[in-house]
Amino acid sequence: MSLLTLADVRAGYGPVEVLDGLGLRVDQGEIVVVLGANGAGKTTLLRAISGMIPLHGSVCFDDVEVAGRKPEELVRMGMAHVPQGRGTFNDLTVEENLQVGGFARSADEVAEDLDRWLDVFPRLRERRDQTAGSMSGGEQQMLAIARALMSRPRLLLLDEPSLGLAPLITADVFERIAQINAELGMSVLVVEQNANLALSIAQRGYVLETGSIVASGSAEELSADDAIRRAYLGV
Amino acid sequence: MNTRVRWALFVAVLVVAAVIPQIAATGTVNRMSEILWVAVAALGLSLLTGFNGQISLGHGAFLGLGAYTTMILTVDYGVPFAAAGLVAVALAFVVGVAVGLPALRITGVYLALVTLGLATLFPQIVVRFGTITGGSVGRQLLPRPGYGDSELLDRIGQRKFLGQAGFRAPAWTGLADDQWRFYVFLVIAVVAFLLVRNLTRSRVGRGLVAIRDNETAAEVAGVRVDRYKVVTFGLSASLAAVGGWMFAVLNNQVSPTSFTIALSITLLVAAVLGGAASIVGPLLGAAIVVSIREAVPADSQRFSQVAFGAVLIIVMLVAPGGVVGLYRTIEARLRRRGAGGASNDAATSTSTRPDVPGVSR
Amino acid sequence: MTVALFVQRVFDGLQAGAIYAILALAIVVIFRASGLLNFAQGELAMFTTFIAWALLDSGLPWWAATILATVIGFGLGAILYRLLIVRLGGAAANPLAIVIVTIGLFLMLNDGAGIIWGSNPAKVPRLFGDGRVELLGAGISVQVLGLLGVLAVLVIGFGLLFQRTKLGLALRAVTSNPESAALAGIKVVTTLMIGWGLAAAIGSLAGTFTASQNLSVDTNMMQITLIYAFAAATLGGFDSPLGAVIGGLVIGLVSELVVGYVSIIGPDLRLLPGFVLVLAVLLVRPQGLFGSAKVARA
Ligand SMILES: Nc1ncnc2c1ncn2[C@@H]1O[C@H](COP(=O)(O)OP(=O)(O)OP(=O)(O)O)[C@@H](O)[C@H]1O
Ligand SMILES: [Mg+2]
Repeated sequence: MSLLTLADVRAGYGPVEVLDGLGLRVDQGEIVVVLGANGAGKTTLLRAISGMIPLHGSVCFDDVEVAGRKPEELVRMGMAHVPQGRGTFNDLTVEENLQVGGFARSADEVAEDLDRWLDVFPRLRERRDQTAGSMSGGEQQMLAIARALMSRPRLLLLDEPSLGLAPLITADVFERIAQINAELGMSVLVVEQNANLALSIAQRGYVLETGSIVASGSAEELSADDAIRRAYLGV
Repeated sequence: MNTRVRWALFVAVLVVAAVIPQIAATGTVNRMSEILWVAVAALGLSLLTGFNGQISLGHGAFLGLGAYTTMILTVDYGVPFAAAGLVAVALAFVVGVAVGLPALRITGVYLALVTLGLATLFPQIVVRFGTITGGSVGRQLLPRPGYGDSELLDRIGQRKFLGQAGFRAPAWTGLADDQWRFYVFLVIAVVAFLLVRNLTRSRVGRGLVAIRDNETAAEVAGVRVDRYKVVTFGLSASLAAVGGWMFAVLNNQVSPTSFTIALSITLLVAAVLGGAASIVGPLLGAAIVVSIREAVPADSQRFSQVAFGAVLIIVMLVAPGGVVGLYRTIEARLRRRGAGGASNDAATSTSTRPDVPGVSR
Repeated sequence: MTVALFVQRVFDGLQAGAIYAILALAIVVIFRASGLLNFAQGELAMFTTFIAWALLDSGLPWWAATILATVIGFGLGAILYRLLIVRLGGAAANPLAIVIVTIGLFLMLNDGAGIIWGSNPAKVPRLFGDGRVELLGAGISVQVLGLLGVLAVLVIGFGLLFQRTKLGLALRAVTSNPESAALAGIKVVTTLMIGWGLAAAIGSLAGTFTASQNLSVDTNMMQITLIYAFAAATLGGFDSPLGAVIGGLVIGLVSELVVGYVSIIGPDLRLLPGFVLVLAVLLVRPQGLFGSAKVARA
């Protein structure tokens, strides 16, 4: 069953149109990857979905038309967005970051989830009272993901989680995403440039070029495609 | 508007300005003189804020510095007005640089804050040095005790002081005092405006704007950011002091209540309303501000102040470029429509000529 | 120099400083919430003080008038944020534009109050009465002690609000990263409206105390106070409420003592010590004594 469906989505910044009538789908429990080069419009796509920029066209989330709704409403509907560059609250402590992540939830739920994610990410427990700004890039990425999970989302939007991380750390991040997906059945839409790992955990994928989807298929099909291998897998 | 039309308009305005004093009453002429001093000071602010992105809420203090310097030098020491003006300008430049130096490290809102402090401090300094400045009463065309009398001036070999008489029209001109004063102001204003215009269109001017838009990028591009900013602050303060000289010459008196925060804000209103990043903007703004003040009865000035406050807010919300910016937008829109129409029926015409829209910024 | 005179001056300084501290607290709340400075903060306080006075004049007891005016101040601050600052782009706005708009508001409030209530100062009673307490030979007015008490309550209240409540967390999150705050489900505009409202409400208290100290309320009473409050916030650090309060008290003390004991400066140049202090702080330690280094770059 489809959780998120985009149809003919156009969006951009002022007069500049970046997304050019784009459609895609994410099913319940699925990990979907969108591949694209710098400036293809990946970030714009996620910003449009989570209501940070206005859009034309249709975004259906959980069978409700949500185009034009604000981010704070969408969080309450079960959508969480980890922005590019992580978007941690750098002046706040790790614990406070997580509390903000659970802002839309009750205090009891927050306390419960806080413990749970600190168990999953022991590094964060160690640094519980440290400010987010003083942590390493990898730790911040973990924190950003944990913060998004605090809202108990049904759909997690991830913007280039590998950005600026060492390959080993990136692998760790992706492994955890796959794990959480498997355990919770939470859907994930991840946009990436670095396709290797993303395709390894995804079931399906799309290729985005200058604002349009130019190819789609299962992860295996995409990994096997010569053109895609050359463009995004660095082979 | 292309350059030729601009110059024609400039000359036309000058001619009209030159003719009016011949037919208008003294009150009107003095009002026009007032517009000019506000305009010159606002021009200084515009250079600083509009072109260089440094804000000042304290230009009233520089204006006051110029006015007091002029008053004291001419009345007490018999210094000729022109020389007093030069001293005032130099002094303001030095003080402006002194304020501009810390401003290098204090950017944006902090600069607004420090200059606001300066504006508030100025009247207090005046009162503190009351023996020279006349304290809270201020100074008129009356030397302070022991100064300005011919005996002292004779001793130091200077001609008899002319302060008591104020700024009078020389006999050879055959003009009344107010007319003469206005013509002198007009010449000063024209010179100031042309100088600033040429400055902003030069390489230096492009450097100033580059700093305003992105300081780091400007630095990387080889603009000597520190030097530019400090000198701009100094020049801007000097222009305010020129306005102060004109103030003293026009009113023949100065007092601390004339140079409070209110004056600094008035200058800001004139600059912003007219269009801070433009040359004619301050003149237009000054004309509007002085005219509104004039139109409102003296016992209802608070209403014009409220209106000015509203103007500041509305301009920033609706037309941050002020009157000049609004004009440019409309002109550009008309031009685009015109160009669109032309290309429809005449693809072969020369309408694609790059007519550099809005040459000036 | 007698001990009694010194003690007297210290308390005079603290009395003035406590008011600077309260207004500085308002400035810091807004700076923390939105990274902006409101140059109309003092005039807003003056305006709501006039409202309090009008309510008092209409027969309300002073405490009811004060509370009502504070609530109205809250509303004014919130509306101001919603109607003006949001339209300018909120925290992302050009700081110059915010300065100019708040200066416009300064003019409108100042002369608007003059139009509504007249330019002549109106009489106001002392909030804490005329009592005095003897200390080391100096008579300390109950007014000062009451004021310091209110300040302490405010500081503790604010500490708790920011550190212990969900609203405080939201305010800090919005300050730190407005975009992520929205993505976490925080209603950013509403939160900032509350922040600006709180600031205006605190400012309103500063206005009431200034009036009750001067025994009158007039349109220009907050202008010098605003400068001092900015000085206090600069000294303490724009993002530190505690710093603002300490800064306010220090500025009040230093001004009073310098003016009292350094005859070259004297009462005419009352503003100079604070001004010099601020300039020195901005040049040497731009983030203030208690602020975080981040602010310096802002
Ligand atoms: N705030 C903005 N204003 C105007 N144009 C923008 C803005 N943000 C992005 N763009 C433009 O939109 C296009 C797509 O940008 P986007 O950030 O979506 O790309 P991306 O695929 O995420 O790239 P990257 O891999 O570098 O993050 C680019 O051409 C970019 O210049
Ligand atoms: Mg991106």
